[in-house]
Amino acid sequence: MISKKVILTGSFGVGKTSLFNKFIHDKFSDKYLTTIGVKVNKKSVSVDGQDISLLLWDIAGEVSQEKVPTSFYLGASAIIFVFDLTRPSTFNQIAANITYLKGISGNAIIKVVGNKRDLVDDEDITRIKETIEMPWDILTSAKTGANVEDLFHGLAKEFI
Amino acid sequence: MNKVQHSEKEEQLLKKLREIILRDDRAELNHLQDLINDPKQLSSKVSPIIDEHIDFLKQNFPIEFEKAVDKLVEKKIVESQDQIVNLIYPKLDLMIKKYVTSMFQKLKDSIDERLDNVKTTFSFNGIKARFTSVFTGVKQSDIILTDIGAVVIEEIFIIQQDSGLLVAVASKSKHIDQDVIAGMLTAIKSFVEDAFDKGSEDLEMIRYENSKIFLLNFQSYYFAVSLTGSLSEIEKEKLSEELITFAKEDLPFNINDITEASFKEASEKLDLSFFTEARAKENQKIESQ
Ligand SMILES: Nc1nc2c(ncn2[C@@H]2O[C@H](COP(=O)(O)OP(=O)(O)OP(=O)(O)O)[C@@H](O)[C@H]2O)c(=O)[nH]1
Ligand SMILES: [Mg+2]
Repeated sequence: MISKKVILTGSFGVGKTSLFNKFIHDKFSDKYLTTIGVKVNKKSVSVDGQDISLLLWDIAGEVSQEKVPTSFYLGASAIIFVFDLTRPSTFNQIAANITYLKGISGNAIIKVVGNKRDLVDDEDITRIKETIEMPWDILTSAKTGANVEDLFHGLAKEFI
Repeated sequence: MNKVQHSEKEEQLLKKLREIILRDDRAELNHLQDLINDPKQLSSKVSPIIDEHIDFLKQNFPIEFEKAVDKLVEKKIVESQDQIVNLIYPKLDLMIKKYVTSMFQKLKDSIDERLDNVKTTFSFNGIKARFTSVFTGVKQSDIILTDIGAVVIEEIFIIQQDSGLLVAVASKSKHIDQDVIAGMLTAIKSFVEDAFDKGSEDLEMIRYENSKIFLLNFQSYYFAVSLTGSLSEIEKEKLSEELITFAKEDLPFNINDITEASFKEASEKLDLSFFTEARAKENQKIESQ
């Protein structure tokens, strides 16, 4: 089975660990336990009959992406940049953040994810869409599970 | 008799004469003696002369003098290099340990500040990660080894440097989630090496409570050997040699494309080289009992 390294990054509290836990254990908690350092876990997904093992690196959120040790990104096949739809501070630097990530990660696939979809309504989404510097790839909710499977399966598909 | 008397008289005369002739000198002599005996007086007389001399030296000698001293110091340093290195290393080791501890403290503090609810996820098999790290080149003599006993290799991982993906793995007994452990090891390694802004120094040992993980770095991958018991310098050398031999003889040259087949093959070879014999021995032991 082939393995791929996938990084979850973004500001603190945006829901990286929640997406990770929802995808791997199908569990969600309202409690906020901040990540220290990094946690690695894996899950295998099957795409068109082919199994692929995703090694997910859930790293501690930093307001500024430069603070994340660059070596964490080495050898990653994909980087998932998560922002929180309810906190503009987590996406108002998004263009600079993505440019930075592209610069250090070589040819890794970069996915922009807006999380906590359950906390905002369609009007909010329209408003955010107008102000945000770049389009997102997918909107998720770790709480309801909306689009979580799609996010990771979509990635796995791109690896094959 | 006369002669004696005369001579006595003569003696007295001579004495007087001497006193008269030498009076000035004696006074001078006494003055000199006082001067020498009184440091204050002496210094007031001598200092100006010395100062003058120093000024002269300052103006005329520095270049030649400096060169000579520099050479001397240089030679001394070269000669006593080992001594100096030995003096510095234990201090370095201490500094590194302190640094790692303080790095983690800082990390924890900054997060504690942000939230009350802190969970350590920098963990290994659920054990809280209390580890010390030792870099290559650092003398280990003053590291206290708490657990004594023969070294037992529990598990050997071959891990891709950048991605932390498993190239191969073999162990004494079957374990689960080896690729997750490989990822965590790589993360910790990256974190510590990054924190030190290391140049060529690689992390060599990670310790968690009772187990140790010895690391041996190659360009594109590294070995992580999990051990119990304490590893002496000699045993470490021997283990390194065995791993290097394995790398040379049994690892495919291009480690960059890990496939299911390459993983299986390398893992089997690893098992054969490091565990098959040990397992057989152990079985024999059990049978003979
Ligand atoms: N309602 C809602 N809450 C969420 C969602 N995702 C995460 N949360 C909550 O947001 C808080 C932070 O979530 P985490 O997953 O710990 O955030 P993180 O990005 O891992 O944070 P750091 O580890 O500090 O970087 C927690 O209280 C979660 O319960 C979501 O989709 N909806
Ligand atoms: Mg987290």
